[in-house]
Amino acid sequence: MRFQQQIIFEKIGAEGQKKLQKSTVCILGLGALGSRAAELLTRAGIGTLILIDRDVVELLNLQRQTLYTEQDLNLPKVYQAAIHLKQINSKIKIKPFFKDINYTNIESFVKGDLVLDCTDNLETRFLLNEHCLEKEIPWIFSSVLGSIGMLFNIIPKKTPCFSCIFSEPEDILGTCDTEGILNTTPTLISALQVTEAIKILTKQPYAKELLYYDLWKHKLTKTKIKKNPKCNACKGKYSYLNGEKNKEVIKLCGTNSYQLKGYKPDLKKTAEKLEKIDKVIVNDYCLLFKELTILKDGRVLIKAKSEKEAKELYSKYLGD
Amino acid sequence: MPKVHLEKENKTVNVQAKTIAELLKKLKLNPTVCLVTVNNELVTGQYKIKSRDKIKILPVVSGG
Repeated sequence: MRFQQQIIFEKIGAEGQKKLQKSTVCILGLGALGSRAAELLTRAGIGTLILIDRDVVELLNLQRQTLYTEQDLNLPKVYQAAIHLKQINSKIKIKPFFKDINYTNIESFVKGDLVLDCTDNLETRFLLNEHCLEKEIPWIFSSVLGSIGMLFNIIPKKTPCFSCIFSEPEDILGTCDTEGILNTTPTLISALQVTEAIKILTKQPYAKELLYYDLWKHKLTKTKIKKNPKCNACKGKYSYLNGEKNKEVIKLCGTNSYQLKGYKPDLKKTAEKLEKIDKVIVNDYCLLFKELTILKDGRVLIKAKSEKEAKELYSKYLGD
Repeated sequence: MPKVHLEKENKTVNVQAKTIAELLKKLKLNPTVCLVTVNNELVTGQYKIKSRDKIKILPVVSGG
């Protein structure tokens, strides 16, 4: 029997396994953290996974995004992840969404008994925090950089929220581009995140502290967090969810890329136009041309050193 | 003088400051890109530092 050894583990048992099988977990972000968490949850016997991601698989992802192979290059992570996960456990239900989550659509896609935050930017996390507070969905924050990872369980009405801890950054944060990342870091943090997920889904005590782990130093720092009485999100003031903080240009972590939102292109016609300039690769989901990945839904991912350069490249090849 | 451990750099420095906000200013750290803990509890800039406090500074990490 597939889950026998997990059922024998006293903290789970037959009852715990049933709860996992009946659970729906939404994973937001299918990069290094999300793809690993998806694999672990699939192997653990979760009933349904909702997978959401906006990117395609790139060569530099393969260093740490263990679910993907060279066969997946240039294809949407969510669809390729779904294929691999079904090969691991054919009985799992998977709902993949190749989407950019923002304040206009988060309600339609981010659902379930638990959400795993595997995103790569704070802005999406502030939005997710407000959505999960409003819908009372538990979620687990996780993040990585270099050999460092962070994790915190956020249970609406019970624990402090994300905005009780973090502020909007007013200075440059380190990214995987500037500081790099060890491929063991997301592997460990995903393992911690999935362990907490199993505890929450089987209604068992979960970690209350903010966990900060440095793999290189083998050092775990646990920080007690109290609710912040000045936290707007806890008071039901949702500035991300109501669109006040919506940005048209987003810096993506790990790929030196920016995301711009444009019109929904006809990929074939766009390809015909751009082929006159240089080589174009087109598939059912996107068009790759020089530094640009043009997605069917109108988003354009641009490799650039700055937001300004990204906008310039957009204008140069796709017009205003 | 309070001792402050910088987790990322793995070094400890002595900084004379009355509050966490003042301490961060002296270390030239923006309070929005780091977390400060005193005796393993998260604190805000207004916190008044006591002589035996164990202060740690953690970087905000956002990659995924």
